[in-house]
Amino acid sequence: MDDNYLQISPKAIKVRNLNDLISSVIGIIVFVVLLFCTYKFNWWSWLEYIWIGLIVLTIIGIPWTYIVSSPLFYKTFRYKITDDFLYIKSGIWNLTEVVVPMAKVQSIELKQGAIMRKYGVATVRASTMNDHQEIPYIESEVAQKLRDDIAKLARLKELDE
Amino acid sequence: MTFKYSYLKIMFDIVSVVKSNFVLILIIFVINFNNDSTVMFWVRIFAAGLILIGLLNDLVETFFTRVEFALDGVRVYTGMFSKSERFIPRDKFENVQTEATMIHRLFGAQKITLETGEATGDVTLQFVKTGEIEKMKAYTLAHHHENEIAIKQEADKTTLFTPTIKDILKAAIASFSFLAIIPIAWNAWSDFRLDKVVDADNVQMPLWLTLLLIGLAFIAALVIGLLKTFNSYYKYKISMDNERIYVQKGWLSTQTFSVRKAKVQAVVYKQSWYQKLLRVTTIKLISTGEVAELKDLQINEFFPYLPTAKADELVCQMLPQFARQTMTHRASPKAKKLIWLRPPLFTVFVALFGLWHWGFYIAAGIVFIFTYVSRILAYKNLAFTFDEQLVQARSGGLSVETIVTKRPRLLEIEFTSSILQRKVNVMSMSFVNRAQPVYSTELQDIDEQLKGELLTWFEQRVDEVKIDPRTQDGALKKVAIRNLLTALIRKREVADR
Repeated sequence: MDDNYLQISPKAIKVRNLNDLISSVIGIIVFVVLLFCTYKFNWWSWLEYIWIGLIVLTIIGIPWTYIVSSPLFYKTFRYKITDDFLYIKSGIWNLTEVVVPMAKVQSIELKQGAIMRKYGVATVRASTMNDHQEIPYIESEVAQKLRDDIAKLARLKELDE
Repeated sequence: MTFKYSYLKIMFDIVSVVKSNFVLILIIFVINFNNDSTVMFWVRIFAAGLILIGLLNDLVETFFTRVEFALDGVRVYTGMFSKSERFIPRDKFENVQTEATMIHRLFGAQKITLETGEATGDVTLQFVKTGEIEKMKAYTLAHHHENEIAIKQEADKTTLFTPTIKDILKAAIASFSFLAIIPIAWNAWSDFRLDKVVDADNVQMPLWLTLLLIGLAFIAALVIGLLKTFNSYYKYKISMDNERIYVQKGWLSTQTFSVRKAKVQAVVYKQSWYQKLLRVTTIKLISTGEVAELKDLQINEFFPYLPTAKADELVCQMLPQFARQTMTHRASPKAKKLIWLRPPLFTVFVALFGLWHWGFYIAAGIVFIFTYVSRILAYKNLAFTFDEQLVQARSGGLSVETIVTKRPRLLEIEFTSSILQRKVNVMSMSFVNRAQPVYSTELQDIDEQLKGELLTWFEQRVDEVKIDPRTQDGALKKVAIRNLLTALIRKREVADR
């Protein structure tokens, strides 16, 4: 990969794993409740197979995230900002590389959930007219600086828009 | 100038309500006139209530809407109990659209929409006298930006295109409008079944009668199709002046539309397979105005059955910077394999339903052929050029689309590659144009080696665009200081009093 590109924080793996674990546990609880209801209230019996299938998938998903997807996500995500452009490379199977001119960035946002705050990482989100680009799981201080930088650069608007 | 609705609008609203609920009223109040059941009673009450509420809303709109066209902008006051006030600065207005249905024309009025770049800023007035329409148009279109040449010669609108009878006939065929006969004929048939009229189950319908009926239906189909097409395109006109392009459409009910040339982001040339057979093309302007709102009218698409040569000529005249040129690049030959390597997922999906009913196997077969034909065509059609002057890309299988735009107009570019694509060293590239909603174009399976070249090309856009001086550092500070000073002066004035 191009060496000018920056990597996200290595804490990304842990935070991502933890987030995934929590949502998986909640998911499993919901499916178990639904499974129970299916028995209890005599819903269509084929629903049982769907709930069991979903539970199995969610359980398999946890080690998958820990062993495969999180480390690969950390390894493959790269970003770069220059005075004029924001570059983001990401993807494990399908690679994407986006280039956004700074002048087309309309707003910039810093996001931090509870787990992210605990680990001191944050997500920077730059919105364009089209959609938004996120740089997730970077160190809080870096994120703040990045937000200020992008905000400063994005303030310049082009004539003839 | 202050605008208030004329009281004639009340009449207009009543006629409109009756027209739009005609079938309902007919069924409930006329056909079931003798039906005295309780259910019918409540249905009537309910329907009458709904219609009345709608009418009351219209009444409030009629009496309590006031629009002031001031020098600096438009103020819109609405509402009876909860009043609201809206201000739209004059230089925000981009386009004007008008529309006159048959009912509008009965009252000598039109519906007008003053469009701004953002959907929320649009001002729509349902019922405006034609004289006032002209004033509003003049008000909206005459505004001049500081940096642009304000000198605009009035009345040097040149007419660029009006369809000939031959064009309209082609349009009638290509629009399949004659198919409108099918539901009508079906209804008529089920209502006046011949066996009911003749009143005998075993009397066979004579052959001549069958042929006559089919013949009649055929003629009716042609007439209806022609009428529909003529109504849309008989008085169709594209014209322009230095600043704007104007489209006028409709015969019995009319619409007009105008777009500022400077606001056009891209031009799209569309051609479906049957348009290709007829050698006609649709031109579409991608602009920042909220044109997509009127999707049933499709008025930002020009006369959809322009002979292809004429279409190119038109763009050359209107927006020479968006004229089509021959393209330098094609899909990568390495991607030829991918046509066959990509799994036909949709076919498999449809075929799975075959387990339930054998008919789906046939459907899957059709889908299979369709998939591969459009894949091969898509590979053949793909072509593009990226340079300083223009961005041009052609894509699509059975219906082909060519977009012509400029580098500074692109909101972003994106490269993607799947595992399969990486195996043969190709990638997809997509770019996005500003519009409402945004307009995105994808080029599938182009050579991966082009990536560096394309990136540099896009990065060089900075040489081309000019930064708005009002957003630069110094300018911002100046504006801030000026605002602060005026605020202070005002405060002192208030204190002095």
